[in-house]
Amino acid sequence: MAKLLVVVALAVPLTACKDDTAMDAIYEVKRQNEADLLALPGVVSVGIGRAPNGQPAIIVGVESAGAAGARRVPSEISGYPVVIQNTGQLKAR
Amino acid sequence: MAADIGTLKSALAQHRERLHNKQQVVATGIGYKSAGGGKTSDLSIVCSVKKKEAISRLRAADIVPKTLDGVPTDVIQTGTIRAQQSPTERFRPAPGGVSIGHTAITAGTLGCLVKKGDQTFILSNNHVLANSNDAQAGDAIIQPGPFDGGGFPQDHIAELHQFVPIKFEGQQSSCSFANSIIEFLNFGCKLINSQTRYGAYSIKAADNLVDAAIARPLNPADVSAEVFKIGPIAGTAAGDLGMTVKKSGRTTGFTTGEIQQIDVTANVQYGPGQVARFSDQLLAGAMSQGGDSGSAVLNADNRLVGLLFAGSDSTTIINRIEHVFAALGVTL
Repeated sequence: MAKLLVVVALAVPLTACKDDTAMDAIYEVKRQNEADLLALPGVVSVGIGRAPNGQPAIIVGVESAGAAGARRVPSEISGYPVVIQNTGQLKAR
Repeated sequence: MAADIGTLKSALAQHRERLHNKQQVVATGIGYKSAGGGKTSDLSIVCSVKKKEAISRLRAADIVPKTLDGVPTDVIQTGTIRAQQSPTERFRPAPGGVSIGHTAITAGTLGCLVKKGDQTFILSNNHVLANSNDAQAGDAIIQPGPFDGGGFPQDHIAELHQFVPIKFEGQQSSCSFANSIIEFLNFGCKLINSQTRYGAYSIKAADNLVDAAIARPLNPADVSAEVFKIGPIAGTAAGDLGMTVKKSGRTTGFTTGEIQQIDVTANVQYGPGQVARFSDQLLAGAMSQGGDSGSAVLNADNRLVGLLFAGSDSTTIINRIEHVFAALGVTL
């Protein structure tokens, strides 16, 4: 029982750390790929957010659902999910 | 025995005119009589007054009788009743969240007040206060903005003080090496009588971090440190994923949202063929429309996290306040 408690006590902060490390690494992956993603026709933004399951993800904004470049956006990069979001054109307001 | 509603209605109809002629009375109606900070179960004719005064200080004609045709009365203080002011109207003092703009634009939003040294400035976007780089220090800023009927000089509230230039994609290069080569090439073209001229264009302008500018109020008493419908700003905070945010803006008023993306690099349109790339932006959901540009974005604790400047039907893009303050050398 005591052993189990120790394992749980250790596992909780470790899980929290894992998410932080995942976040740090995803920044780097995003940075290395954003120029290529933004060069695709119709892609207007690249950011870091969360996939529907809560996992850190690279979010690619496109100006329309049928944007030519959308088909060329990979579904994952270096193990991180890439989510396409139809943001529409981004305009200064 | 408590009076029935019919008796109250006829008593009120009978006396309404006379009640409204009394100084201080701004509204009359039927409601439960209040006593000792709570409500009783007795219906009464309620007279709302600008300010409740001791009976001894009132003229006899201004005293609301204790009863009217046997119906009890009640007097409550509501203050002056005004039509709700819209953020597109003229405000003096002008708080954050209301219409403002350079005389050459339509209208944007006054973000909030900031300090530089011991002077107070109005913070908003470059494209609101400095017409997207096409302005000079000293230009007139009017509240409300031109689209909302603001005019010069009657609504002149401030003068443009400083803006962070927006670097547009495909802009003419400011590289002196490239430009001297071009000068040389064009000189050659002239020599051979060619109609061709060369130009140096940046293939990719460096990323922008902010769309920001400050204007100096002509009179510090004409501006307010509060944000319309929000109140005073409690400080600053760093925007993060999942953070709940709010803003008060010229077009959509008070709205809330959530930061859905951070570290966002985005291509933003400023007009036909005019695109600027921004990096390290915050992205929230639909919480703005055209005219909300320049709104201060705050977190749940009323701490300032960003400056709203762009978006689409489903998104709102926000400069991090850290970058805005660093670029302009200002603080709260």
